[in-house]
Amino acid sequence: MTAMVFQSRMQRSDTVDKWLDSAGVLASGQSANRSNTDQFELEAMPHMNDLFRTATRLLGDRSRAEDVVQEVYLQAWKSYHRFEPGTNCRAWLYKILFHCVNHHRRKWFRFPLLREAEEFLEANLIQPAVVPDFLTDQDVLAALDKIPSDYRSVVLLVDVEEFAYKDAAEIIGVPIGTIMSRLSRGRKALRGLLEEVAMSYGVRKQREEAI
Amino acid sequence: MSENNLLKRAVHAQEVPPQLQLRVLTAIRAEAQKSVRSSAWRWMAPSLAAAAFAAFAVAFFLPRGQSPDSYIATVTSRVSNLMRVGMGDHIHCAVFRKYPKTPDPVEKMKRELGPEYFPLMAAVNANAPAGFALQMAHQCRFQGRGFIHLVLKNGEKIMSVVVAPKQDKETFAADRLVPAMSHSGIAFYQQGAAEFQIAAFENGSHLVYLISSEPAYKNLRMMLAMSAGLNEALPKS
Repeated sequence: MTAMVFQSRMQRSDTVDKWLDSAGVLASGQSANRSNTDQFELEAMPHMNDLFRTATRLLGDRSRAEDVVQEVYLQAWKSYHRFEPGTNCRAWLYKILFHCVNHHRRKWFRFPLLREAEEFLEANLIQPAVVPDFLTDQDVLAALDKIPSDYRSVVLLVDVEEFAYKDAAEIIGVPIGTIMSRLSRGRKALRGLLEEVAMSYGVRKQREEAI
Repeated sequence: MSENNLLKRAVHAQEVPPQLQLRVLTAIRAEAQKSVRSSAWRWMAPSLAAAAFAAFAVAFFLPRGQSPDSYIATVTSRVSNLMRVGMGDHIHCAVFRKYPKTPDPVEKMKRELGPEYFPLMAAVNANAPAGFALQMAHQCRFQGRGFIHLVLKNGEKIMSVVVAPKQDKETFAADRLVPAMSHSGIAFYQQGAAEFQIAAFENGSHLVYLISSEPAYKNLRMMLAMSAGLNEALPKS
């Protein structure tokens, strides 16, 4: 049986996949399931890195993000029979991601209320300013992590992952209008925080001197 | 650069852990196998008498009531010929063993490994996963073949590093195995049967195995961590 398993191994470029083919003890009758698994991996795996990066920013913790991404893929695999081929697999995976993240947030963190987000904005909103491009990735990520999670989610989906408002609304499960207002506030908050970082580098002072 | 582009650049620059894909794929495949087993059961149930199926399950999947040799034969039949070599010795020598409360003294382990192989102890110790400690090291024989065997324990968890001198130009490639991955020019192989996972590599004169009951990706990662040291410590022929 082992030889059959090896012979039936599909040619795939990824060495990890090759190993996974040989690692399991495959039962007879598994071929239908096997092709289903291949199809799922083909559709879903290319989005894993983006999902991980988004999860890391949403949770602020890489190892939790790893756990959540694994959970997303397991849930997606279990409900793959409900997925319609040709539809937006990426949006579907993100929807599962947000479901998992919200579940874990309830478990891991005190979920910040929207009222807290409003208070944050009142305290932090400043007039838009030009964001200097010398800011490091770490500066930008640190600022992103500071904005309330409701806004951060929308900024990540729309500005980073380039989902349409409609898709983002479906992923998060809120009306389009809410997406638009959260995006606007999230962008403003982020810009404000980046401006603060720039000020800490003495940029404003230089600019004022130049004027 | 616009704020939007800065943001995209920063988020996309985040490194993704290299083992994540392996971890996710392993989980999916395990889930897929589970669902096949459960669907197979649903299909078979009407056509098989429950008692006959239970007897089959007991005979094939449970070690209880079997002799160690028949259990080893049943489990190792699910892996390739060369993987069988290492997994068989692990189950025979490390799993079916009653351990003393304390590890063997280092001097005893050195003596039992012999001057040719005792440098393996340092290589294993240096890269042992957290919590695992060397419990025993010796040369042993199983089914007419000699092995160098180092056993690590972490509570009830058992892990073996098994080294087998090659016989008759054995290679994993000739055993029709495809490498799981290559690292520093070394090809690594991985298979699993029952609760055991086995990772392996070879050099010109030896087959080297790491067998544990950890998940497949962890087992392979532990082997990756130890491989350079083991390769260095093996006698050069």
